[in-house]
Amino acid sequence: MGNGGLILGIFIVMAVAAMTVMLFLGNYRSREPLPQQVVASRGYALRRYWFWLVLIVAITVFMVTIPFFPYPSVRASARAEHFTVIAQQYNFSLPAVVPLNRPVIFDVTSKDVNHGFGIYGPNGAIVSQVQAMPGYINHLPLTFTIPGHYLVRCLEYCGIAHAGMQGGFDVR
Amino acid sequence: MTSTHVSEQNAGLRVMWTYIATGLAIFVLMLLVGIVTRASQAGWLPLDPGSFYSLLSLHGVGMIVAMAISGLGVLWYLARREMELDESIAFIAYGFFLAGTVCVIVSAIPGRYGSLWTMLYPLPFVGTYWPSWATGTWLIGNALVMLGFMLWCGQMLGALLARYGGVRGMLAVDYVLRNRDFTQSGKKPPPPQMFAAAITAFDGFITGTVGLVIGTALIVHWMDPSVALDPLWAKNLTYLFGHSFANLTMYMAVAGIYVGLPLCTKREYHTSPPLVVAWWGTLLFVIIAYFHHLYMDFVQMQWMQFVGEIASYLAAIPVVVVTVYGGVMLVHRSGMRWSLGAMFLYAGMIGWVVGGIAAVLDATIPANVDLHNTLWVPGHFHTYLLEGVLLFILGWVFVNLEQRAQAASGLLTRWLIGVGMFGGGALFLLGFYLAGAFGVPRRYAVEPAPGPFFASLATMGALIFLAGFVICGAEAWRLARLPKRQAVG
Amino acid sequence: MKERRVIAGLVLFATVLFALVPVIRRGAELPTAQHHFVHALMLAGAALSGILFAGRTRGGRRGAVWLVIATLVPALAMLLMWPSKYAYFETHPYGHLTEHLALVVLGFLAGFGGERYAAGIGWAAGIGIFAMGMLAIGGYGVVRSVPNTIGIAAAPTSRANIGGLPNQTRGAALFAQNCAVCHGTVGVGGEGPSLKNERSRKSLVQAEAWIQNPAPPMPKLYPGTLSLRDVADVAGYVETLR
Repeated sequence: MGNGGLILGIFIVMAVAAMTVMLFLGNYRSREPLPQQVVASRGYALRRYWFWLVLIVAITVFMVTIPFFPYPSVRASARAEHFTVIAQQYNFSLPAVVPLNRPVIFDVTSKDVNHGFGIYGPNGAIVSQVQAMPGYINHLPLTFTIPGHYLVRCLEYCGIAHAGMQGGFDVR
Repeated sequence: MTSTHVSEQNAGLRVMWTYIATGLAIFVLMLLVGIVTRASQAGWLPLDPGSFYSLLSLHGVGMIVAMAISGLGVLWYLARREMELDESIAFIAYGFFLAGTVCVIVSAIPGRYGSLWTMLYPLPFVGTYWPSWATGTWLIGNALVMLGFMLWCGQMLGALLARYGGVRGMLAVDYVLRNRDFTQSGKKPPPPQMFAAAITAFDGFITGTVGLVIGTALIVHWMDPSVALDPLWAKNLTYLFGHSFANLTMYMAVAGIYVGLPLCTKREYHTSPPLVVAWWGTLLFVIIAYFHHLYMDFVQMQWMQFVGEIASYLAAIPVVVVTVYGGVMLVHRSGMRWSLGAMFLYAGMIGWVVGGIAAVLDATIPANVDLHNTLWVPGHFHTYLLEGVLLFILGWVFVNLEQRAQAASGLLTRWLIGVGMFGGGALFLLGFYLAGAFGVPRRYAVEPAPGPFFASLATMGALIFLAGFVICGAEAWRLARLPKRQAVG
Repeated sequence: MKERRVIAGLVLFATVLFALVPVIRRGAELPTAQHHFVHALMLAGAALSGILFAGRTRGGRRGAVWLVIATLVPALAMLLMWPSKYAYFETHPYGHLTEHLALVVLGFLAGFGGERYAAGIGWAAGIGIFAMGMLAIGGYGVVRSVPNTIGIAAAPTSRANIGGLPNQTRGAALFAQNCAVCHGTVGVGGEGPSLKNERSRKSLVQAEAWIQNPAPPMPKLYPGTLSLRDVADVAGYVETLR
């Protein structure tokens, strides 16, 4: 599952927490109503802290994720070995072998419509992906650390045989 | 005087029920279409890929239109209580919606159009397996819906500007920035649901304009293939239009919280400065959040990716700090009875928050690498639409029916509907999220393992949901036939 | 109020003058992007004069017709801005002039109709129609020339025009890539029909003709994905299937 499992875990924890809190607040001592002013004044007092909490968490998470952005830098591009990927309805033109433990850059484009260049690792999880757009070249920097056969699937709807559009390469 | 008032009220009700009835009818049709596509992925009734994509295209656009029409109907009725609105324009817009819907159905079923509604140029023209007229009918159908939507927005915008005194009054600028002067002069800010109307109309106008630019460009390309478009430009416009329109359906239906929940709890939802500021934020975020659809286009300008992530995060604040927070405060210790209407509205808020969490995770760029165009994406928007927008609309319908007849549904009925629509819905959605976490791509007629397994789970969930929805429909029918006891609102 | 009309008239006059430029500059065509910009300016000027002419309509009876007009004209203007080299309007000077004047009329109608319907809507429609013109600059008939360092021409399917008999081995590889999704791995059939014994139904030439120009739902891959050489090779391979 790769990172997908981690994200799913975070999602389930957060979703269950939100659901529990909301159901609790909705049902808590619902037989003993309070006047709206009482609830509102308590709620407004709390809301200030809640606002800052959400804002700070949002900004912190944003800052923390920035180093993990997948976008290429000019310096990395000069050092890495480049491989051409051309997508078209309904196949990929790919390198047969990609080196292990060395920075590589896939120069990805398309001959006809938009496609997605989705790389699935030997364990079946998504390693990375980038769009293949006609007339444009997307540069996807990667360093493979696990040898094996990598599957490539199309990750942007491209026509009737979209589901069958795949390819692969070996990392060694 | 009284008679005019009654007929005025009737105009609002006529428009609302026409819109809602049509919207829900389209919803039921598209629900069945959606179940067929998911069952096909599960291998239960395998479709050939062509039919699969035609039905998927129809399901997508039909559902968005169904939700939008229902939400616009509710909002129109609520706005009609505050200001003058011409019924004829509402019905002209309705005519556009219907004509557009007929066009897309004709295009997808006999025409076999199969390139979805947020198709990325040069898509509906390359490698087609359907006749050219189906492409044209599809594009024109979408344009008709957009024109109807812009008519609705134009009317609402005009009425809001006249009623509250220009953009400043409509967005309550003075109420927030010069609160003391404003309140001392005895003025009142617009009620909360009017901000929903204002943001829908304002952003809807922008969305519609952009939608018509890309729509007209595609129609021109259809008639004259020598007119080439820039694929990156087309993708930006397509998602600006598509994302904003889909997102706006939520803000249309949110009026259910502002007006429906107070009816259930016998409390009041007032306009407050934080609420107004929250809506200003929403006004902006609805338009710029679409950047997250182009995270995997590395040629997109880099600042847009950064803005996309932070804007998608901040878009959560108006929801969880103001609107839903306020909704929970309304219900908390109010002694509210969990009638069907109240249940739907409250569950709709939960669905909104849960779908929002999934959306925010997906809008995180490093996570998007793993989730982009996997089944996680339909997972999050089905949560929004099915367990959010739809529940707000059903909640609003039931609150009205319950108030009208002064009646409620039995415990067993409520349990059956709850288990069916929330339990079945949860199973259905889990099928998307789990498959997405495993990296199963979306929009695959035939999914790689473990896709089909989760698709069969999801189909079961959807069938349970359908059963709950049928009971819900029967219950609505029963309530609607009870004699009227009290006027609405 | 009289001054407002005078200003409105002046704005309209200036806009029409601006729209007349192609008559003076016969033949000299601007690039499409700049042309869109010129159109956007015309639309803006016309819409502004329309707004000013309409004046304030607060409290008056609202005509739904005006709103419908103001909503429809921006899309019509987009249609008129059709940026094709082959469009009659864009090549013939008088056709071009007619097109420009029609744009002025449409821009005027957006502003006037909107403002006649309700105060502020003329501005919304006017800004909308101007924004449409400006957005068009980004890619409506305008394709940015991106340096293509990859060189699509060097793609593996470029062995066209070699001549000679179909290369069935190569055809098998192409078939696996492009056709097997629907027709099965060795043409056993799947979503598409089985191709076993296809040679009893189609000759080599007929098979090539069909691949080049198939009926739906089979996708047309020539000349986009498959070259003439590829088509010949695939057809040659298909003829060997039993």
